[in-house]
Amino acid sequence: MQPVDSHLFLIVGAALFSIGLAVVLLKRHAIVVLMGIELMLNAVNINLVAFSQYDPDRLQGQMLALFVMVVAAAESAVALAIVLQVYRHFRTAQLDELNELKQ
Amino acid sequence: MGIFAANSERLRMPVATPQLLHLLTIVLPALPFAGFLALAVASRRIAGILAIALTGIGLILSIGLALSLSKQPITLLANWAILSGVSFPISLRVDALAAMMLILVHFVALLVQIYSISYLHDEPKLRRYFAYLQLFIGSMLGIVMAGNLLVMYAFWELVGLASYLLIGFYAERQAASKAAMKAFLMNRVGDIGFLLGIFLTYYYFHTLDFEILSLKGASAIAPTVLGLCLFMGCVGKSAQFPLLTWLPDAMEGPTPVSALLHAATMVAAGIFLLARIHPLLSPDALVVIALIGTITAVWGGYSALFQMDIKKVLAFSTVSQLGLMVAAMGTGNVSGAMFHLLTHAFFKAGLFLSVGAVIHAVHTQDMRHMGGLRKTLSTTFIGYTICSAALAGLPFLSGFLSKEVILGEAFAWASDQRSKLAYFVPVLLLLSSGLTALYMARQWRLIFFGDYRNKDIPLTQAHEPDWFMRGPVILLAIFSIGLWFSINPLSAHGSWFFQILPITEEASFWWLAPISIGLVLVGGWVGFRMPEPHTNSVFVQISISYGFLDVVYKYIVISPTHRLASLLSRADRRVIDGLVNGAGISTVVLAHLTRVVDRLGVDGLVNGIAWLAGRLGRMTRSVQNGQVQSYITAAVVGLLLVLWWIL
Repeated sequence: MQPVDSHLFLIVGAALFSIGLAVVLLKRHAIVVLMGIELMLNAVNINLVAFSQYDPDRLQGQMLALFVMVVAAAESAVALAIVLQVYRHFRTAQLDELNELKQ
Repeated sequence: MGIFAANSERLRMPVATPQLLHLLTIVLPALPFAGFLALAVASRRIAGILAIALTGIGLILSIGLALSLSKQPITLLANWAILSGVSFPISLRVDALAAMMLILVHFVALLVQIYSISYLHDEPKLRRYFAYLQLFIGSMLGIVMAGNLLVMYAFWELVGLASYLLIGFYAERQAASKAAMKAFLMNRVGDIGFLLGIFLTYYYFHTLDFEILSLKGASAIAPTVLGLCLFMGCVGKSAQFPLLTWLPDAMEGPTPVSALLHAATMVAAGIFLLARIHPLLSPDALVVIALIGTITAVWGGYSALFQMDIKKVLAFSTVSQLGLMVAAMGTGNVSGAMFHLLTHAFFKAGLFLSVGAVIHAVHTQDMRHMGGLRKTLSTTFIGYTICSAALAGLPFLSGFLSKEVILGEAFAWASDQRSKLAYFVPVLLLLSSGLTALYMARQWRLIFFGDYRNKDIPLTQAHEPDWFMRGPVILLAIFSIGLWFSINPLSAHGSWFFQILPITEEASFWWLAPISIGLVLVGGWVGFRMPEPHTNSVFVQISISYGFLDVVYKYIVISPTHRLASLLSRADRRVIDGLVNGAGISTVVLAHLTRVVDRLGVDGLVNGIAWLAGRLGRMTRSVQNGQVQSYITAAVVGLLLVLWWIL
C-alpha cells in the first residue's frame, strides 16, 4: 500500500491542536475547556499515528496513541469530578469567575 | 597671707634681724586688708572704731619696727611664680625710707580716720567708707614695703582701685563718678608706661629686686627710655604735668579722703617710686624729670591762683608741691624730696582737714560764699594758718626747711650742669614757692577775713566742729612746726632726717634763705592785699581752667578718640555687620536653592522610584489575575517563545 503523504496528517493534527488550544484559551465554561483539552490530546494522537508508519514493525506510535486514549479517559474522569466539585463549591463552572488564585 | 605661712621655711632670713621683725613686716600690710574684710561684716557702730584701732596698732607696730631697724634692711622673700625656671618672688623690704613712710602713712591715716568719724557720722555708707580707707592704706603700705617692682606694681594698681572707689564714693553724684573714672583712666596712662618700664628693667637687668637693681644701676647706666617709662608711672600717680588734671577733679571725694590722698597715700606713691628707682635713672632721664617737675610746680601754682573752689586751691597746691618733689628727684636730691614729702604730708593733711571743718560749718566749697570766719572757727583758723604758713614756706615751719633743701640742691645742681639754661629749673622752683605764698594768702583772706558773704546760711549757724575734727587738725599743725625736724630754724642740715637718709652733697647758699623768705613775704602780702580780678580776664581763665589742659585734651585726645570710635562703629556696622548679614542672606538663598533641588531632585528621585515600583506592581498584578486561562495563555506564549528561541 502506497503510504499517504504524512504532511497531510500533520496538517490535520496541527489544525486540531490549534482548535483545541483556542477552545482551551477562549471558552469560559470548564467543561468546554476540558473538551478542548481532549481535542489537543487527539491531535497529538493523530501525529503519533501518522509517524508510526515509519515504524511498521513495532508500531510504537499507535501503541502510544492507545495509551494516550486510556490516560485521557482517566484524566477526563478526574477532571469532570473536579469540575463537579468546583461547581458545588462555587455554584458556577465559569472559569473567569473562579479567581480564587488572585486572592 | 597664707602663702607666707606656707613658704615660711623657704624665707630668706638674714642672720642679723630677729624673727619678730619679719613677723611684723608681714603683719603690717596684712592688718588693713584684714580690716577691709572685717568691715564688710562689722556693724556700722563699730566700723570707725575698728578701723581706727587697726591703724593705731599699725602705727605702734611701725614705730616699733622703725626703732629696731638696723643698718641692714629687713627683707622677706617668698616664691610667687616660677615661669620656665625664672622665679618671680613676693618680696617685702623695710629700710629707713620705707620705715619713715610706714609711720607717715599710719599717722596720717589714723588722724584722717578719727576725723572721719565726726565728719561722716551721718553717712549711710559709713562701713563701706572705712573699708575702702583700709584698702587704700593697705595698698599704700604694700607699695612702701614692696621689695621688687612687680610687687610694687600690684599694690600700685590696688591704690589706683582704692582711689577710684573713694573719689567716686558719692557715686550718686555724677560729677563724682566721672571724676573717679577720670582719675582711674589718667592713672592708667601712666601705669602703662610703668609696666613697660618694668618690662624694660627685666629685659636689661634680669631682675626686679630693688636691692640688686640699685647695685646694678650704680655700676651700669640704664637706658634713658627705661627711666622715663618708669617715671610715667609717677607722672600718672603723682599728677605731674601732662597728666595732672585728674587731681583737681578728685576733689569730688569726701574731704578726709582728699587729705589722705594728698598727704600720705596716693600721690606720695609716685615720689616713693622715684626714690626707689633713682639708681636706674640715666642723666638724661633726670633732666627730663627735673623739667617735668619744674613745669608742674609752676603750672600747678599758677592754676591754684584764681580757683574759687576751696578744695581745688589745695589740690593745685599739691600738684605744685609734687612738682617740687619731682624736680628735686630730677636734681638728684632723693632725701630732699622725701623730706619735703614728709613735711608736706603733715601740713597738707592739716590743711585739708581744716578746710573740711570750714566746709562742715558753712556747707559750701565756694570761697565767694565764705569770709570772716576767723572768730567763729577759731581753732580751725589757727590750725589752717600754721599749716598754710608751713606750705607757703615761712621760717620756723617745716615747709621752709624742706623747700630750702630742695632749692639749695637745685641751685647746686644747676651750677654743675654745662648749660646755663639749667638755672631755669631752680629759678622757676623759687618762683613757684613765691606763687604758693600768693595763693595761700589769698585763700586765707577769702575764708577767714573780710565780711561773711553766704546768704543761705547765717553766720550764727556756722560752728566749730567737735574734738574728733579739731584734734587731728591741731596735731597736724603742731607737726608742721620746724622744730620737730631741725633745731636750727633756718636750715635743715643736721636734721635727724638727713642722719637717716643722708644727702649726697650738702649745698647751702647764704643768699637763698633771705631771697625765698622775701619772695614768700611779698607773695603773701600781694595775695592778701590783691583785689579779686574779674573772672573774664584771660589770666584768670587760664588759671581756673589750669592752662586749658582739659580743653586741649578734649580736642587732642578725647574728640579724636570719639571720632575714631564712631568711625570704627560705623565701619563695624557697614563692613562687619554687612559681612555677617551678607553671609546670613546668602545662606538663606542657598537654603532656598537646596530646597528646590531637594524637592525636585532628591524627592523626585525617591518619588520616581516609588512611582515606578507602584507602576511595576500594578502591571505585574494585572498578570496575576487569577484567570486560569490567562495563565495558560502565558504558558503557551512562553512555550512558543522558548521553542522559537531554540529552533
